[in-house]
Amino acid sequence: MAEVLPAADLAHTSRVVEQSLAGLRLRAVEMGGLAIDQVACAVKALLERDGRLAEVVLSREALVNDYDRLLDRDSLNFIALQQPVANDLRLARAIARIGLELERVGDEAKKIARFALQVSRGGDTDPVTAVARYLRHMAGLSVTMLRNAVRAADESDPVLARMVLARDKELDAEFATALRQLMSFVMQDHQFLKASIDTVFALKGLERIGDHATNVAEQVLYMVEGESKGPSTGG
Amino acid sequence: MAATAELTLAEIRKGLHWRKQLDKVFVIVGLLVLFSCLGLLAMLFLDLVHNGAERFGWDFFVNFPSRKAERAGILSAWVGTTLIMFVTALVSLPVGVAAAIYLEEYAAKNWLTGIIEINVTNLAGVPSIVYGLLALGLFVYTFGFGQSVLSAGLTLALLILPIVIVATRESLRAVPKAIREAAYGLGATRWEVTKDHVLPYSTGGILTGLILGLSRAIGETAPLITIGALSFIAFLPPSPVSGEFPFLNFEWLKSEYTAMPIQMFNWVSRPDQAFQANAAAAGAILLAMTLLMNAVAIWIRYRFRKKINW
Amino acid sequence: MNIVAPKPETASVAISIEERRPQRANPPKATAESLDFWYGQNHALKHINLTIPEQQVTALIGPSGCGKSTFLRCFNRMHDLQPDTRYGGAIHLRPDNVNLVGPEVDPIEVRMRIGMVFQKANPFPKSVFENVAYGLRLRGIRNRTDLAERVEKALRGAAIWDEVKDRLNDSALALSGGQMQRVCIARALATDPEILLFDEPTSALDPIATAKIEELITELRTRVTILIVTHNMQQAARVSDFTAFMYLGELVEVDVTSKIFTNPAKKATEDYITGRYG
Repeated sequence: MAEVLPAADLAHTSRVVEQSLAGLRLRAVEMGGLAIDQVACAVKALLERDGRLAEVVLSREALVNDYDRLLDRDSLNFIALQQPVANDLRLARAIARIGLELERVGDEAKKIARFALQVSRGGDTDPVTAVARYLRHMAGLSVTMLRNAVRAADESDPVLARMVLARDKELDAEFATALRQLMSFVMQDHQFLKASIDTVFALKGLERIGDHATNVAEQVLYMVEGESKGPSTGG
Repeated sequence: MAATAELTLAEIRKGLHWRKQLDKVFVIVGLLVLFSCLGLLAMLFLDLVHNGAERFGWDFFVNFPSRKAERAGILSAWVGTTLIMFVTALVSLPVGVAAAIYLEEYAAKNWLTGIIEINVTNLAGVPSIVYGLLALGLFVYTFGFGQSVLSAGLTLALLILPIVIVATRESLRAVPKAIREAAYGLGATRWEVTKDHVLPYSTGGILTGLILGLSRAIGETAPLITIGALSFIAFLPPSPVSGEFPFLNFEWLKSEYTAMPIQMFNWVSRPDQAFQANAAAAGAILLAMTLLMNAVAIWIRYRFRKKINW
Repeated sequence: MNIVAPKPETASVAISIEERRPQRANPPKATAESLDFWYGQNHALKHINLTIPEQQVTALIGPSGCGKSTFLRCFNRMHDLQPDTRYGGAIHLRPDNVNLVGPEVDPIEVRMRIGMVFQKANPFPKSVFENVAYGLRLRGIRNRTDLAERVEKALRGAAIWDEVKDRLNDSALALSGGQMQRVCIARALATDPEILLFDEPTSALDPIATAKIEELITELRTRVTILIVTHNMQQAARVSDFTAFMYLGELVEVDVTSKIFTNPAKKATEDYITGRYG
């Protein structure tokens, strides 16, 4: 009969291990906050044609990569030096993978920001305007999913992680609708083909961000419950 | 393909049966031998007690020897023995312990130390009469101590010195190296290690060794005869404590004396059969004293072993 | 729907979370310079050059017979208790630069400055108090109040005060193995050593006692320089700031512990720690 102990019960004898584990979580949360901010700013820059904001996002991309590198190194060092087992080991592995997912989120945000920069410098905005509503909605949804996933990682909360998994469908549906809307726009008006393609990529990027959030949530479930799930392939 | 016979369970069982039988045989033989020896000792003791039965009594202890068997007692004998044992212990303990400490802690492991060690163990095998002769020449004549308690004590001290040294060395060795290392590690000198740790923890073993040595010495007759123990004295050595200044004196050391074994020997050699009973009684008492000393040694060892549990 | 306002530009990345594992060595406390050692004809240590940084933990690892314990025992001249031993080279102790293995230096003086904790706990068969006080008594401290104060400080420093404060006059041998070892640590700490040597301190203990002592070593770091020999590599990984790998009497590699255990420079080191030695 397995006993279920409340989450924050016994501390490790070694303070170093406690500090290391707390540090890994903290770093992941910080990186999550940064990634979320990148996404939000990139979409805002795109919708408002704000070139300066787009440049801010692009300049912070290196920071995201640094976080990932740090998280990877620290979790590796933790495993090498402290030889964790069971939940500690899963946490170290999960945090490293979460860092990877968040880094990819950063990449997607970077691409959207590049598009936004282009638009702000005189590129065609009509396709963007056509699906602005969907862009906004998908951004909000994916940011919420990310925020919840990162919080679930911080608090080792499987319920919250499952909520994130559940919302992926919603995001996929939104993407499908946005795509249909864009397709009808393109069919009506052929001249904004390049911008339309870029807009498709932006929408796809947001959908992928949702997928990454889902992956983060799956890592949280692995961390807490121990079942290994492979990263989900996008819908 | 080799034709090795694999042992079947039946064969193992059969072999095992014989091996266990042999085991039992040895146990039986051992027990037989043990009980025979103990039985002999018991019979000897009972024989002595039986033969000397008529002499036991307060008088026997407080009377001087006499020409009349019924009135002969062992007063001078047991007082003499006690005083000699006292001197023996007092001399052999410091000398033996110091020698053992030197050999164990301080001496370099070279050929000279090896020779000393061999000689120490050899001394234990030297016939006791040789000690008597040595003592006669050295203590009685050359040093001029004469036929005294002092000479007797020194002689017997020499006799049991190897026992004390060996017992002390064994106790010193029993102190684990780890304890010494710990003390050295804290910055102790060799003497501090010895004084604060090695010696205190060896006390049990040292005392045991001393008492075993004394219980051997108590029965030594040959050396005492050689150096002139009297066999008929009707006086006691002077008391060490007196009523006048300086209250403590050492006159008793220079006194002539007798000892239990001597007295027994003397009585046994008398033609008068009545003295056989005296001899038997004295023998029983001597045996009892020896057993008592051994018991004390065992008790001391037990007490110290309880305190210190490596 | 609100989108979060942009954060102000953050400058550079925050420092590593592994703050307790400095990448830099503190100034040296002791330096072994071309240290040699012979047991009779056996050349046990060969030209060892190693710096021991102060107030950090340096671990020595290597297979049996590699000389790590031999090296450790040079620091407090324990080899002088055996016949036919010889040192070469030097170990300079800061700040006064005295050569610990120099023939002109009194080994007893060395042992009064360098403390040692042994493989198997070896408390004296005396009371807990007397055990810890012994080193102080050797140094001439007799005043009962002084002794009591310093004994308490040492026992607190060894994280065992609470467990023995009501049993100070009971025999130290009545404690458990882990407790005895911590009393031995207190005994060594009582005399404020400049370097504390640990010779496989937990190899005789169960995992829980081991964890407590490893935690203690990590804390003691801030008070005293520590040099620890362990045949348990994982312990070296958990506990030390710097790790030195020795083989057949030579120093093969020394580096920050995290580097040694993730990416050592020498193949020999990697073979040993991954379990590929013959």
